[in-house]
Amino acid sequence: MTADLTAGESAPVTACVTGYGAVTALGSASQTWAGVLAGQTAARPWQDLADEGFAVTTACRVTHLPTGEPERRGRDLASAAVADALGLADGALDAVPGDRIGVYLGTTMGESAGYERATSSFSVDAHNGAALARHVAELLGATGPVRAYGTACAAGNYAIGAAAAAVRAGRVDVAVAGGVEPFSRIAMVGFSRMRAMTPDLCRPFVAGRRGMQLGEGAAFVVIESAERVAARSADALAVVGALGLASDAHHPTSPRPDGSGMAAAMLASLSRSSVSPADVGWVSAHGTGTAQSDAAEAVALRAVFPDGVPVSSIKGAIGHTMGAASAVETVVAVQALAAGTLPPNVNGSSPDPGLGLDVVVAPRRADVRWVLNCAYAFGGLDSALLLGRAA
Amino acid sequence: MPTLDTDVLDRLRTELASVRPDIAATAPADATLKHDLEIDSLDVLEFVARVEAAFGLVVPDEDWQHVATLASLAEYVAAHRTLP
Amino acid sequence: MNVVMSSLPDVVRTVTSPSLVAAGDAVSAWAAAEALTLYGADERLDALYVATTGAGAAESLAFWAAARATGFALAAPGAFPYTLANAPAARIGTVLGIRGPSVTVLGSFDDALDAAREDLADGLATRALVVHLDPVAPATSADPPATPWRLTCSVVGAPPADR
Repeated sequence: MTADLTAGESAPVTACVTGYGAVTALGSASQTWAGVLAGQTAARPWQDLADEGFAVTTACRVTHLPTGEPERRGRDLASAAVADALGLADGALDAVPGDRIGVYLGTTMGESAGYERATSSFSVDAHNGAALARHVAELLGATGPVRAYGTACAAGNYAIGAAAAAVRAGRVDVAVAGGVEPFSRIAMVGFSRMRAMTPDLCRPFVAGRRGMQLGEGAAFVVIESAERVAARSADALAVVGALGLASDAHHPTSPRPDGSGMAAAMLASLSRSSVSPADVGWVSAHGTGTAQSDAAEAVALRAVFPDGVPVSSIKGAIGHTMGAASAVETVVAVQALAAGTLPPNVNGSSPDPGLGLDVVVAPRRADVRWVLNCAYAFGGLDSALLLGRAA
Repeated sequence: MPTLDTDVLDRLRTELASVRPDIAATAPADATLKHDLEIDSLDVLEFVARVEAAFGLVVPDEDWQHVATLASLAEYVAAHRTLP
Repeated sequence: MNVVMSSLPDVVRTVTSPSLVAAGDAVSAWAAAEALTLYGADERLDALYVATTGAGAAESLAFWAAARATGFALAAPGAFPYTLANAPAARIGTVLGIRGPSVTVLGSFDDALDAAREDLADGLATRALVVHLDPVAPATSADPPATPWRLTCSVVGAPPADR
């Protein structure tokens, strides 16, 4: 991005990722990356769900953290992911005044168990996404902006996009941003009774795919300006481009079949970042594995990338982690950029050729400079976030 | 073709009224819920779910095309119900 | 890019519903109808910012109670989309035909204003409807009673008419 400077304007700021952390059913960020590359799926049946009378008992759940109090699961997932991110960022918060640290968090259900186990003393303020954001702020000693997004399955992108914008605008020195989604029994019932949930495997972009699979997890990134990264001799792991947002304005749950909202979000991210479709080396698809959403996404991708673009979804590996999904995907994108490797479409090595997509079916070495991370939510919310290779 | 069970059909219309009170009583039994009656997909799911709970059965996804009309749903319910 | 920003929002309007049962689609429909009445003629709106703390809460409690009553394998799904905090924004945006950003923040009216102003300055949109939406009585217990909802709204951004 270039700009002619006029009096009073400063040079454009680049937002850089200096740390990341994730907690998924495959494990930590590096375990998630390794598992996705190996085509592993964390999906398995769960006896407690069978005992409780769920029709679908297969899901992706985090097993490497202590079980803890059910109503603190979201906080526990967030704490682990934030700790890993700060560890990698190695001193990002040193000597930063609290009011110069910003927290940006996305979720769908918040602390779902809090609602599921509600008694007469229920308080929404203890369990909603704002509570999770406050929890992260307390962990960091952050007294700057704290923003919680309730934008469902796109919330991670919203949070990370806003955090990067805050860094670029100088509203904060360091932003910690991501998404959290503890396992939600409410969602388990809701999606399966909407007949949107696969009984066995989540197979994005495959003919005859039978739906999404529920996951749980959290992922966070630490974002600072390139100038600050250089000043403290840290490493930029990736750069964050502009967030593109659009709406279908169509239906409470079904996307527009013409993919026009999805395409608008992708184009907005690209144009606001001054990146052309030809510069994108990989699209991290929303790819939930439902008949409708994958089909609409394919139409949108063909419109935005008429010459094709490598595409894959990680939801076959770790399930749909909803509010955390696009944050986990951001962390995977950072690793893909660093490794120069595109991850495969797990459980989708035989994509439907009728979708007209270049689906990555095995790990692919590539000189990838930009990754477009797409996430779409109920209500027709469309988001796309560009991540770029650190210079 | 088995005789249409009017008791079942009446109860289906009662459940349909929870999502489409405007057409529940008058919808032709052989009209497709989605295309002919233009019932929103979410409302169809809600309606069938209520019928499942009311009659103690589950319509598996592979049988979905067999319950496309009130008449075919009534027939399916009559054949698979576990509750009176 | 120079954006002519109104320094103050347009007149802030607050409307209160009659008591609404905690059925999310009823809340969303009411909010959308109010927004349509107030802003249906404003064709330049291209973004929607909704702040809430309680949208989806009572709906989640009710959905879960109903699911436990029927058993999970027989639960009715229709209310599930309304357990999400962004359901009212989706309804409002659909009736107003807003195809730009739809942002639901969990917080106050000022939080939504801040988010809108930041994004407008950043070029994501030009004219945003900003809404705060919450039940008057927050959901308590597993079976919350009917409560009125309150909606506060305003518009920020580029002026409505071409100059």
